[in-house]
Amino acid sequence: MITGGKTKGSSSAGGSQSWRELAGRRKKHLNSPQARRRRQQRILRLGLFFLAVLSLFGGGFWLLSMLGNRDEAIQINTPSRLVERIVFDTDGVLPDRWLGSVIELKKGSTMMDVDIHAIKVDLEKEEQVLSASVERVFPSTLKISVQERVPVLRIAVEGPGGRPVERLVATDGTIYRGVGYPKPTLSNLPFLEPYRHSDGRIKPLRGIERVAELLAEARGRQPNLARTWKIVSLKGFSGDPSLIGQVIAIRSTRVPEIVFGAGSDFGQQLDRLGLILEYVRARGNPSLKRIDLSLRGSAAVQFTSGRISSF
Amino acid sequence: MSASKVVGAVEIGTTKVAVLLGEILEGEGLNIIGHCVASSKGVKKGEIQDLNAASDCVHAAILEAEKNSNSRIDEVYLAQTGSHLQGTFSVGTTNVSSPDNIVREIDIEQAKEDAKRRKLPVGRTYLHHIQNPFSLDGQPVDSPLMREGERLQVGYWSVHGDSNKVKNSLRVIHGIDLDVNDIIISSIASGAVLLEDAEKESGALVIDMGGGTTDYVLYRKGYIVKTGVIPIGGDHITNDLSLGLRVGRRSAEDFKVNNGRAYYESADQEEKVWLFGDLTIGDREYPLPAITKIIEARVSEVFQIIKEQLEDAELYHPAEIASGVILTGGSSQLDGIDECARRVLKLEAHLAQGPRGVAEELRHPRYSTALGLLHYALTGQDEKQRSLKSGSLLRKLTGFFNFD
Repeated sequence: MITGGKTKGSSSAGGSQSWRELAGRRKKHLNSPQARRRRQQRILRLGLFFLAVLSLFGGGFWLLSMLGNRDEAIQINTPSRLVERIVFDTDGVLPDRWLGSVIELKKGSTMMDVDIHAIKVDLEKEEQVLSASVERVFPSTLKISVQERVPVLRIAVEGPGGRPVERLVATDGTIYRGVGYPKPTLSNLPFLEPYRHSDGRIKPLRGIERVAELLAEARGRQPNLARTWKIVSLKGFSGDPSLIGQVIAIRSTRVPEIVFGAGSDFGQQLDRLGLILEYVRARGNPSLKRIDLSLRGSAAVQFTSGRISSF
Repeated sequence: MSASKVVGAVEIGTTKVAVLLGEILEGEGLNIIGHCVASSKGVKKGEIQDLNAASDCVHAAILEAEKNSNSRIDEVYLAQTGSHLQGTFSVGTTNVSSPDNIVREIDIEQAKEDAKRRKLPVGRTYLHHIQNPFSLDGQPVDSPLMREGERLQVGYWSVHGDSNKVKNSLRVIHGIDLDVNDIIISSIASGAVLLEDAEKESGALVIDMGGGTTDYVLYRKGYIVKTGVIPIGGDHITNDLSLGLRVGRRSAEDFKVNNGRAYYESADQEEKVWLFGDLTIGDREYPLPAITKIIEARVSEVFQIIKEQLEDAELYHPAEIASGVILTGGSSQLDGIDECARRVLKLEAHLAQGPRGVAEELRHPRYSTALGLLHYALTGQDEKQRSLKSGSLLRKLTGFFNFD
């Protein structure tokens, strides 16, 4: 702790003839090099300070003007024409009238009034639509293009009141209502018996793209046979074909159950199926119960008589 | 946000320039944030002879201290010394104005004004008006306010100096674009930090022996009753040795610092000392008593002059200087100087220890004056100002003088 105590009484020299009168009379500077350097440093600091202040004010002014501009609508003097025509283009089956049920365009809207982003979002909310694009084609046309999901299977789901309703399953597993499809197209689609997940639910549907491959392959190689396929069962297929024992079962009008190995080549399995059916037909067409093509290098054919053959 | 101010304490001495930088935090505390001691040029016997040379070294020291502390001085407290400084004692008198003879503020102010009324000759300027005790009807009182009496008197020890010499000091500081907030004479500055309240109360004589001058201040009953400057310092001892031993000034200075003694003892009679002590050509032996006698003669002369000045002012009463002599300043480092002071002044004498709570390097006597300047930067010189601040002064100064 400091030991310097206080001294009684004041000691300052105020009043007349004080040294402070001398201090007030500053004359010319003594120009020592150090003083010059200090002066220069001070001027430099002062300059930098003013520069900083100027930048700050300038920046603030710019920011304010920017913010001000944001408040005001951008004035475009070019007149925007009314939307006179909407061109709807799809790679699928959606009809023009469907468009009217999805988007609502006010009468008398100009080209610039139309919120094309909102229309795109609304369109893509529809499950049948995979993607959509909306373009202004000046002077007065709005072009809407959609890419649709392709149905692979049908599925019966529980509808209002517990009644089963028919829905479509797309390649990516999306289940949707399906608008605009011709009846024959739908009737040719087999029904899906989905894989039941460990929690008891059937959705999400996985591995549909693999089923689609099988169906496409079958339609290509055995079109007559493919037409007899009514139900595709994924009970033995979790969606991952790389897992062991994953099978896709088909129920057809001709063979009650055909089992395909989900991870094996569908072409080979279909060829073998063709040979088996040919062989059976040549042997008098005995009634078949099950053909298992998922076995490696062979197929097991079970007849209704109980006989089992290996091919 | 805290309001802080950086003050510079500048002492322009004959041999060295000392600059201390203190940061006053909201007027509540002070931290020493930078310091620099540089060799002085253009100063003789404490007075600036060559303004440009003095400016160069003072400005360099200020810049160095600012650089050390990474801050810039806002205002300067300047120490003043030199034989041009003189003091006069004046007494102001007033009759108590109120009909009930109760002393009011106006009576006190009138007595003070009367004491300071004395006009100085042209070319002289006041540096301090140092208040002494009041007396009411001849009885000394510390505070006469609201006391009953008819005749109020107050004494003032006024220190004044040559206007041109004071102006030179100011010009040096103004030369680096700084303002001088206050000038305090060196002895008062040193005394402020070296003495305890009790020492001031019981009476003490602080002698600050510098290179070119010796400053002193006498405290009695807590008041500064006399100050003085003797134009003799350590440089004169060096000169005496240089002439006496026929060696150069630098060798004489080294010899003084290494072997100098200010008090002769008979036991030293046979002792001899080497001039350089490094066996180089020209090194030779001198009898220690001869050296000591040269130094003792000069140091004794200084103390004798101080004693005579105190006697002339009728202030030399050993019983009233019970705390004795406190020696500080660069030249107080001479061996045996306290014994010499004791013998000449017939008072107890000891070397100043430096203020407590200060970094070790700043406790050296060469910083006493600058530390005192910082003390005044914090407390001010006015009694009212000081009383407002000093109530918690010690508490506030917990961090005071701590070197960051």
